[in-house]
Formats: sequence, C-alpha cells, structure tokens
Amino acid sequence: MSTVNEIRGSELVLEEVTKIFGTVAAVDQVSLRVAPSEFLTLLGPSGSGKTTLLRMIGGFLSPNSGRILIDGDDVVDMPVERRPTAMLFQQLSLWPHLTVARNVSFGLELRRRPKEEIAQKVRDLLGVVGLSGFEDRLPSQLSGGQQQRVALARALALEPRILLLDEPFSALDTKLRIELRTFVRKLQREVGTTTILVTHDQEEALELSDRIVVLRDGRVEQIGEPTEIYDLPKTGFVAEFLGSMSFLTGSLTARGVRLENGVEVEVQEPFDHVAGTPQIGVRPEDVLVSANEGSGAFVIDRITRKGYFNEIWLSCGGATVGAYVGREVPGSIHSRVDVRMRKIHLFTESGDAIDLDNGNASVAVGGGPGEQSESERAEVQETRR
Amino acid sequence: MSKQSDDGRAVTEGGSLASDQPVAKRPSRRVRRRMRTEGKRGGLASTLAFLPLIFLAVFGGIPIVLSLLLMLGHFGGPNSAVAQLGQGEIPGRGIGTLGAITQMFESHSYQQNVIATVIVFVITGIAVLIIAATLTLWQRLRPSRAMATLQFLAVVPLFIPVVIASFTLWTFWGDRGFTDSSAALLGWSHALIFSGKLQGVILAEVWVSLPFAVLLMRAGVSTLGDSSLDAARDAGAGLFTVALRIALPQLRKECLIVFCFTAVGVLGSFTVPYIIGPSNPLMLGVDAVDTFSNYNQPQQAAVIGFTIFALAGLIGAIYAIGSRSRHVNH
Amino acid sequence: MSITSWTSRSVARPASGVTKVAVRVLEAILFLAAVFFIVVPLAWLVLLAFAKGFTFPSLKPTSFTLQWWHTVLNSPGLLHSVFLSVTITPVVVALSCLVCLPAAYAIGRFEFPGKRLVLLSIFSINAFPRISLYIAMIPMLFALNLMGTVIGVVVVQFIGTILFMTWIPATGFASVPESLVDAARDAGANKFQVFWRVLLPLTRPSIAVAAVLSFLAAFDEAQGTFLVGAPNYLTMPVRMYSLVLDYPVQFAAVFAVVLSIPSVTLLILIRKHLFAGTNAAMHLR
Repeated sequence: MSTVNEIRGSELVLEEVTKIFGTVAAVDQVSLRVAPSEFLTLLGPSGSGKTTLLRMIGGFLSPNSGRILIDGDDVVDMPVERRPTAMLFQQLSLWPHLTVARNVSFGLELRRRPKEEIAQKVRDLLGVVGLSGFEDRLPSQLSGGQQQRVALARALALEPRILLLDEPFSALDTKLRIELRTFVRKLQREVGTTTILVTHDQEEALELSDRIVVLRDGRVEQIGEPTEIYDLPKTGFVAEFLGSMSFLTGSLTARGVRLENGVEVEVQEPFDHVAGTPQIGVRPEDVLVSANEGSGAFVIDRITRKGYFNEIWLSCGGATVGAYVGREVPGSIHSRVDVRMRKIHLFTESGDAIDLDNGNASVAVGGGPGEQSESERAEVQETRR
Repeated sequence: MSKQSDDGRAVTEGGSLASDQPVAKRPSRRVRRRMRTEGKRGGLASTLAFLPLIFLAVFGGIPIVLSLLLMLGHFGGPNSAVAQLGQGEIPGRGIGTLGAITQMFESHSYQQNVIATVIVFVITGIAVLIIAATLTLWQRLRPSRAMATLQFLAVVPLFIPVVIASFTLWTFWGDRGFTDSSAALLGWSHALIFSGKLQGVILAEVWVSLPFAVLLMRAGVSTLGDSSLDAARDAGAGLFTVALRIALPQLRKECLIVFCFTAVGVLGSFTVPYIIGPSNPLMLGVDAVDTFSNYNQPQQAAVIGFTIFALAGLIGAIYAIGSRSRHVNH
Repeated sequence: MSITSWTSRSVARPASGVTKVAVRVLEAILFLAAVFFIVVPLAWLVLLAFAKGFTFPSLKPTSFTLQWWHTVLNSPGLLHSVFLSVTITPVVVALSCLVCLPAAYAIGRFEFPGKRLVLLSIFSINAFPRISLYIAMIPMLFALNLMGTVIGVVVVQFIGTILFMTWIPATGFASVPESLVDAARDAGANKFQVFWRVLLPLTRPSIAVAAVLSFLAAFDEAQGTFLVGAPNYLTMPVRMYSLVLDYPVQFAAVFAVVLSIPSVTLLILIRKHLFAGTNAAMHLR
C-alpha cells in the first residue's frame, strides 16, 4: 500500500468542444471520453491546441461551444477553484514566498482542514515525492526537479479526481525528466486518479500513456493505444510525429515496391494491393540494409551516430530512405547496398492511410480500430486496477 | 472522414452519449454571455482603477481648464474667489482676451526669465543623463566596490528634503561659504561662488535630480543581457565601445525618460531656484509664485503657468519623437 | 543582488596593466568628485549646526556650541511644524495606498476599457510641471474652501504621490507569473484569496518601494504646501523657507539637520534593499 490515499478517478467526457481565439479555432469540435483512472496523453506540435484543451478542462478557459462533463456533470460554468481537477504546470508555479510545506498545505488550509490532518498529509506527501526534511525550504532553494516534485505533492494534496499535467517535465534536463516521469506514472497507478498529460514529446507519450490523442490544428488526428498509433498511423502526419517515417512514390508489385526509376524493393510482410501510385511510408526500423559486396541499388548518403545504433540515409534515384542499423554499419559513405523492407504503410495523396492490411484481418478500414484493439484496451485497464 | 469516425467512436465508447445528442451550431445564449465576460476585465477592481482619476480630474484636469479661462480673462464661476483678490486683471469677452499673454511676453524681463529657464533645464537634463549613464554603465561593465559605493552616494540626495538640500548648497557654494573660503585660503578670492547665480541653480538641480535618474538607469542597465555585452567584447570591442555602441542604444528608452523627467522636474521646480537662484533673471517657477502671492496677479501667474506647460509640451514632443524612431528601428 | 553581481563579472575581463591603472585613476577621480559634490556639503551642514561662528576664510569654527540647538528646540512654532510634518505625511501615504493600490492591481492584472485613459492621465499629470499645476489648483481649492486647511495640504501632497503608488505596484502586480495565480485558483482559492495570499505578498517589495518614495515625496513637499497651507499649516520644509531668509545660518542648519532625521533614518533602514527593490520596481519592459 502506498502512503497516499487512493483517489477515485473521474470519468471525463468532452463533447464537440470548440475554442476560438480571434478568428482561429484553437480547438475545433473535439470529442473524447477518458475512462476513470486512465492515463491519457494529448500529443501534438505547438499550436495544435493541446494546452488550450487542457486549460479548458481545468477551467482556466471557457469553450466557445461544447460540453465538458466530469462524471456526467457539465462543468463548463464551474469556476476553476471548485473543479475536482488539479494541474501541474510547466514551470514557475510554486509560490516563492511560501515554504515547501506551506505550498503543499495551501489548498488544505483554504478548505479549513484541521491542523493535525494538514500536517500529517504534508508529511505523507513529501515522503511520497521523496522530499522529507525539505518542509521549511523556500522554492528558490530547490533544484528544478525538486520544485516539480513539490508541485506534484501540492497537486495531489487536493486529492484531484482528474490530474492535469501541462508539459511538467519539459523544463528539466533529460535524466531528471525520465526519472520524474517514471515516478509520476508509478504514482498515478497507485493513486488511481484520472490523468491527462499534454506534451509534444513522443517518447514521453509512448512511455506513459494508456491512450494517446494526436492533435493537429485543433482537431483530433487519431486516438488509440501507443502501440496501435505507432503501428497503424491513420495519417502521414501521425506517422511522422510519432516515430519517423520516410515517404516514397512508386507502384506496388507482387513482391514489393517498384520505385519511379524502376528499381524493385522487396517487402516481407504482406500488404494490400492498391492501384495507382500511393504514398508509400516506411519506418526506419523496417528498412533492412545488407552489404552486397559493393553492389546494390541504394547509396549511403549520410551516417548519424546515435550511440547504441546508427541512423543512415540512403538514396536511389530521387527516393530517400532513412534506416536504423546496429553498431555495425554495412558499408561507409557512398557504398552501394541492398535494401529490403519489413513492412510498409500506404497513404493517399492527401496523407490519409489507405486500407491498412498487414495480414491482420480484424483491422477494418475507415471504421476506426476494430474489436481486437478495443478489447485489448479494456484488458489493459482491467489489469491495472 | 477518418476524423469523424474517430470522434464518433470516442463518443459512443462512453455508452451514454449517442450521436443523437443535439449539438448547437450557434453558441447558446449562456455560451455567448460567457464569451463576453471572458477576457480579463477584473470587475470591481477595474472600477476602482478610476478612483485616482477622480482626484486627478478635480485637482488636476478641471483646475487646468479653470486656469486657462482665468488667463483668457474669464473671472466667473469657481474663478471668482481668486479673481476678487487679483489686481491688474484684463477681462475678456467672447472666447477671451490674449491681453495678459501679450502683456507678459512684451516685457523684457519676462523674456529673460523664459530664456534662463530653458537654459537651466536643458543643461541640467543633459548633465544628469550623462552622469547617471556613466555611473551605472561603469558599474555594469567593470564592477568594483568603489563604483558601487559611488552609486549609493548618488542616491543619497533622494533622502535629503529638497529644501534642506537647497539651503545646504546655498551656504556651501555661497558668499563666505565652504567653497568661497577654500578658494580664499588658496589665494583665489571670490572665484567659487555659485549661489545667487544660474550656475548654482544648475548645480543644485543636478544634485536633487540625480538619485531618481540613477535608480531608473540602474534598473534599465540590469536588464542588459550578458550575452550581448560578452559577444561585443569577443568581437574585440573595448569597454568604452561596448558602453557607447552596444549598451546605450539598448537603453534608449531609459535615457529619454531620464532626460525628460529631469527637464520637466527642473522646469516645474520652485524651491531650488527660490533659495539659490538670482533675483534676475527669475526661473519661471519662482516668477509664478511671486506673481501670484506677492503681486496678487492670478491672471498673469496663469500666463506663466501656461508658459511652463508649453515648455513641458516641447519636452513631451522630444520624448514622443525619440520613442517613435525606436519603433522604426525595430 | 548576488546574481547580478556574479553575472556582471563575466563581462569584466582582465585588462592590460596600463589600462588597469588608468581605470583605477579615473575611478578615484570620479569617486572624489562625488564625495566633494554630495557628501562634503552635508558634512558642512552638520558642522554649521554646531559652530558658533567663522572668521572668513577659515573653515574651522571659532568654537563649538549647542546654543542653536537650544534655541530651535525651545521655539514652539518650530515644534508645531515638526508635529505637523510627522502627522500629515503618514496620512497622505495611507490615503495614497487606499486610492492607488486598487488601481495598481487592476492596471497590473486586467485589461479593461479605459485602462489607457487612466494610465495616460496619471502620467500626463506628472508631466505637468509641479509649480504651474499648483498655481492652477488654487482657484479650485478656493472654490472648495480648502485653502489654508489641513485637507488642502493633504490633497496637494497626495497628488505628488499618485504616480509612484500606481505605476510601481502595477509593474509589481503585472510581473507575478500567471501560473502562480492559476495554481492558486486550482488549489481552490477564490479571487479574493488569490489576491490576499499570493498576489499581495509577492508584490510587497514593489509596494514598499512605492510607499518609501511616496513618503519622501510627501514629507519633502514644500512648494504646494506653502501655497495652500500658509499661514496656518507650516510643515517643516515650508518653515525652512522663512528660516533661510530671516535667521542666522547656524539656526537654520540645526533645523535642517532635525528635518533630515526621518528620511535619513529611512535610508539607513532600507539601504540594503534599495537597489534590489527599485530595480524590480522600475523595469520598463
């Protein structure tokens, strides 16, 4: 058992929520449902409306239209201070004139809880975030990571039924960021509060989330579990934003892809055959490179060391493909190599995924993810509880 | 298409929310009210923001209008109390009379007073600007304990009442004062007397204006980024070049404010020239009070008041032009 | 403070020997000039207050005496001035807080119709030269029967504090990051609690600077007080006018020293926070 009280996470439903700034719809008719105790991530580039959406859920902004329901109650007219939500901000949100303990107890003092209870709770929470003994420090005497831990304790002190995380790790350095987000994920599972994270960091989204919502220009681009979104991106935008993807033009043949210059590249996994010349996407980890004694259709243009692996860029005619290879690069710059592909993704001209069939028949086209992924998700949530 | 199915799926997932939920395309009245009240208006607090405005109107704006009427020869209404005591008044009909104005400006001594006042505020403004900029930039580019102390000393006059300052400097720079005595001891009699002269007024005005200028410049200098200064030094610029070419242009706004603030302060000062200044030419501030209290000529005093306003308007124009060309640069 | 001085050091580089000496010499000259210009006159004032007299051109008094102090401290008129100054100034500062701080809060935190008008009025009244403003004010004060009254004196001094009391706290209020306010509302604080528990404590340094500057401005105000308060309400600075003209220099010097005590005490109390406070309060950007 953890030392923090378990919190009953709320169900959150957004219905056609729209927010207009000037003439631009920052959030455009977004609808989604977040299950109790779920960890949902709003992922998107800056300007995609993810923070605006989060601030509307927290009550800092009102939508121009649409409804926000927490456990079935419309909270659009409920002021921030009365909502059962708590937000962890990007930075600079600890009150600099209050000690760590007073920062954490602020909300409890406002609620006029007994002194003993407050003191106990502050002790517990600071213990949970690993900052026992820091009670009387001022925020200016803490490191960035410690400050965010205090902010987390402060948010949890309110026993929020929905916890809102507004890029809370982005101001920290890499090591601290990974450490703190792992901690947050573990704590969230223990406490059980519904959690919504806003981030532009795909790694963070993939690691933490039960489900990810990819936003683009204020609209939902795709919703799904991390693996589902990664494996079956619905648009080229999603494919490029989560992980990376190279795009080729060419036609499909029985064994693979024929590029515009006539070179044929073998594709191992079965794929649907589409007439015409679709956009062909391939992830770098699905590109298999082999040295063929100096001959081969592709040329190595660039090699980037990434530590435990290498990213190489290959070209063939006008086509460019990125590939991940291990420590051993099969050749050097300007070497000719052979290329095969494990798996490809097909998109229309406008970037929408075409009939994705990687051999798994249960994935229906145009109707969102099929039964299997749906039930898988339910399973994930069951096991967590 | 895919987006719609996405949303649809997400909503049906909740179970309770079917697609037959009516969604208003046009914001409801409640929503529209919300849209209006959003944007941070601050309700009550914003109403209270107008409280100082009431005081400023009653004791600033309206009096200035009344004073204008008085100058033009309208002695009725709230002006009657003053006008009854006044002497040498020139009444006006219709829009009014410019009699008082021409009367004043035709007098040779008044012309002298105006010129003297302009000289004093221009020199003081420039001197204060140079001193404040030197002190603060020096400490920023080459910090030392001596310069830090110097800056502190420059602020000390803020805490000495202006009357005391004027009196002290009057005896210090005066006949048989400190400087006069020191000079005499060196066999150099009557060389360092400034009291009763315009030079003394300028020295004393610099003395009382310096603190605020230093505080303002210091605040501005503290915002200068290290990187821009370091980069200039990397490029081989000496401290003097950095100060003149890199730092000062970034402090344009502060420099303008320091000059204009000082100039207006000097223009509207009474105590310093009253105690230290010569009796001829008179600074306009002293002239105004004299004319009002000693000669009982409120109408003529109003003319002096508006002369001062007009000069302040000139300074304001300098500020406006200076801060506008900044925008062009950006 | 410590951060500024540390970062400043990075700009300073070791200079060559000759430059270093030249800089030191220049610094010394500037320093001595400042001491002569600012400190020596004040020391001269104190010397005058204890001197029996001087034989020109000697700078050494013929002898030291406390007789001027006796005379000053035994003249009831002067004591009345001290009493007036010490009571009127705090009233003015309090009035200024009451009227201007809500305005500063609104200007710093909100966008409302008329905000520019308020700001523009406050600044332009201060751009008007003081003395002609006072001259213009007199007919109004006559009409309101405030000439020669204590209320008139309070009003005249109050006008001189409005800029400090609105502008400086307004920048203070505006510099509180939005996220601190959001976090407080998130924690359940209503608007009043946000103001009282977060905004006000964080703005305290700005308000303190504003209060100090207002105190000095009001305490120091002689021109307007003289025009409005005379002959009934002669505060200490106003009394100085007649002392300078009609009494021995030493007598006025004693009174000047007495008159400087409150503000110099204030200076000594806040000397450590002076620059940090004003730096934060006077940011223009």
